[in-house]
Amino acid sequence: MDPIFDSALFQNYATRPGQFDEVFARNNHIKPVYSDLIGSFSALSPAEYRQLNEYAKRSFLSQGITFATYNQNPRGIERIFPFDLLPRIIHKQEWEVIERGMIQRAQAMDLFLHDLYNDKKVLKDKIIPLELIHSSHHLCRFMEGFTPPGNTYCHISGTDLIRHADGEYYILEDNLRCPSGVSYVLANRDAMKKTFSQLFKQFNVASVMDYPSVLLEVLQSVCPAGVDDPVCVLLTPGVYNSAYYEHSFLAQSMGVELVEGRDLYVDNDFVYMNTVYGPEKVDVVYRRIDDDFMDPLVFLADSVLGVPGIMSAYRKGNVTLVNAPGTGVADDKAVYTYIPEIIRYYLDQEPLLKNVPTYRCREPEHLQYVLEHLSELVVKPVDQSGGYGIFIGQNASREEIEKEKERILGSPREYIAQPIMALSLHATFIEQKNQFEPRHIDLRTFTLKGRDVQYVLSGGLSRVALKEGSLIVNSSQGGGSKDTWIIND
Amino acid sequence: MTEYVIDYHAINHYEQPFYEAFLEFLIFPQPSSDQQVIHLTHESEPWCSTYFSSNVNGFRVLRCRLPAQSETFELRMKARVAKSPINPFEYQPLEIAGERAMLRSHEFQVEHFAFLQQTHFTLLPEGRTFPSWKPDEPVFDFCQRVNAFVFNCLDYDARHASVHNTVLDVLNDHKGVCQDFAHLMLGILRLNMIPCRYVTGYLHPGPGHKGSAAIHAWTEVYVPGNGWTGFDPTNNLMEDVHYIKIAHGVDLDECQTLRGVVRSAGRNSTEYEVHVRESEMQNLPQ
Repeated sequence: MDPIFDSALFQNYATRPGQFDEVFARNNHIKPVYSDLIGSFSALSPAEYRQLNEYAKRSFLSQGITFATYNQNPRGIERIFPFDLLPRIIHKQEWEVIERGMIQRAQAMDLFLHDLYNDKKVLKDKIIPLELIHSSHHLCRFMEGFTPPGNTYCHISGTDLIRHADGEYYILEDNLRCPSGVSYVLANRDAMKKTFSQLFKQFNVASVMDYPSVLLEVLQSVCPAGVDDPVCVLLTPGVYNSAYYEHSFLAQSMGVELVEGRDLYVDNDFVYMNTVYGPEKVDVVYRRIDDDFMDPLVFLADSVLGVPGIMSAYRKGNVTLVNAPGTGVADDKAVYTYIPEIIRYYLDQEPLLKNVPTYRCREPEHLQYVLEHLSELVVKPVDQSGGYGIFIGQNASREEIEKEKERILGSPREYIAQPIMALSLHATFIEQKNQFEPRHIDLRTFTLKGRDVQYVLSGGLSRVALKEGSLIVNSSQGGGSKDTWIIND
Repeated sequence: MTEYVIDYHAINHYEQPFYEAFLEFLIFPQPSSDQQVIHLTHESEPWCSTYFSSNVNGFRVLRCRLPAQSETFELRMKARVAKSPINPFEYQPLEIAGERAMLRSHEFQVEHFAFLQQTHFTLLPEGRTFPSWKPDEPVFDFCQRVNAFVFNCLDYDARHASVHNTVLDVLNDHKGVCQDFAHLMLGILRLNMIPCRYVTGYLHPGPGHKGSAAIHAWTEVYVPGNGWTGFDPTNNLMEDVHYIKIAHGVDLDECQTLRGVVRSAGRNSTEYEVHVRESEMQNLPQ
């Protein structure tokens, strides 16, 4: 038992058997990487801690770092994203593996997307089934036979990682369209520095503040050929979008214009921005609008968010869209299961980061295993999202299991199965109880890739499920976040 | 060589003034080895800023940014096109087994998948029988059989024209226009895993031809040994010198003659006319 449990903030803290706690080892000893930090925290009384907590919250509110959820409050009331002051720490050595794994994944994704839209070798060699790709809603016909500048499709990717009970990191999903959340990483760090300025002198924490400048470097690196001093803009759907704060924050910190679709127009396959000085040619558009809304002449005809004619300008090579259209085909749930194969196929390397093991019922051996181990698995339909049609084996009755077997056998190719994954726990301050308790966390990482630029944001967004026992970390469903420290001792 | 003069005239009416209108016309004859575009002009009323661009399949489109406050917008296109004669029966067919092996090969299917996959326009209803490709039947013969089947399956009825109609819709009352004939043919061929595409163009009116008063639609099928071959199920004919192609795509959606973004409080409507006549200046000395 560590003396820390004498502290009022930690006295009732209990690790959970069979689950991985980031801060405490099984014998209730603090893990070495956390010992100095927890030492500083435990010296605080609950009242002192609350005061600091309030101070940090005010910092968010005064900066206007809020978000609106669509479903829970239809009036769009803005709330601050709950922030926990105790940072999550990842040792540099451990982080370097994640970092290399992310770069590897980003490289493989770009090669995969270029192949899919050009030679299609991956399909001809039957690495991925043809029907799987062509049934994806995100496949973009406009990308056929086209190579974007710098051969880059996924300039910005956000990949979600979890740490399972075995202490290993697993990739849960990739977000290759418009991943968001990076502004919270920067805001969290800012709040931490204001609240605990002394701590940053004591710990050698890797900086995250270079993100906007590297992002601008990436945007400029993929500008159309022959442009010396590219004009970059950030295209937002507008103030009603839940991530509008992030859009304005990123535009401001990169020093580029924040525009809406109505501020841009296309003439002669070039894109222009209306300014008070007249039209100005735009070379790179960091768009935070989904493919479907980008160009009403090509995709959804009634979209008022996009820019009519922009896709032809893009194909002509007169403007670069970031991320490229049609990347969604690679972050599809069914395609996810093939990413280890994709990495081996294009890079001839073993994947550095693990996927959650997935059984594809379309393959007879996997099917056999799934049918025999249904009580330990989660079964998901490949073509649905939003949690529909999911079967969880853990508490299912014998009857339910038999019914599920029938459902799978009816059309095995429609299903995948995965073991039930636990998210690791992290000490988190619970306001109602004035003390720290274990809560589940995950990690969203941010990777940037341009012409000769590769970058992984040191740390990322650690998301916390604030409800006891809950595994849902989404901000729209009561999730919060933590600053994430990569430290080198 | 046969020369045609094509006149296209569209009028858009706007109930309320718009604050932005951006239109895209896909109406130009495609230059190709058997279709030479000799002369091409277009003009609009009122005058507006225009530029040529390409659509998803690389076909030429005209984009028009309309002056604000217009109540009507007219576009006229005039083209003079020379067509070389085509004899659709004149090609070296592969052996039947060779044709099948080619169409069934995995690599071929990967390359042509966009034209093998049903779309919401071409999807066939379940529980009905459609012609199926027999093992001893040449692809060409099968396509002719499907062409005749579709021709007999639907009645041409211009009152049923709607850009939203799918095969499922038109099979309810068996009435439709050229786009519906084309979609049904695509649906049947794709069910048999034969690559095929939707084609739009102008049709020089022959005796009893349907669809020549408007922009016509037909199909192209991949016939091993011959490549993309045109079939017109509306008239149960093969594509010949009377067919002047504009564009192809997976279905109507990729071949829409007019697309546009009009930001206005009121409604808008479009009328158009097409005239195709044989030029009197034909048989010029070579």
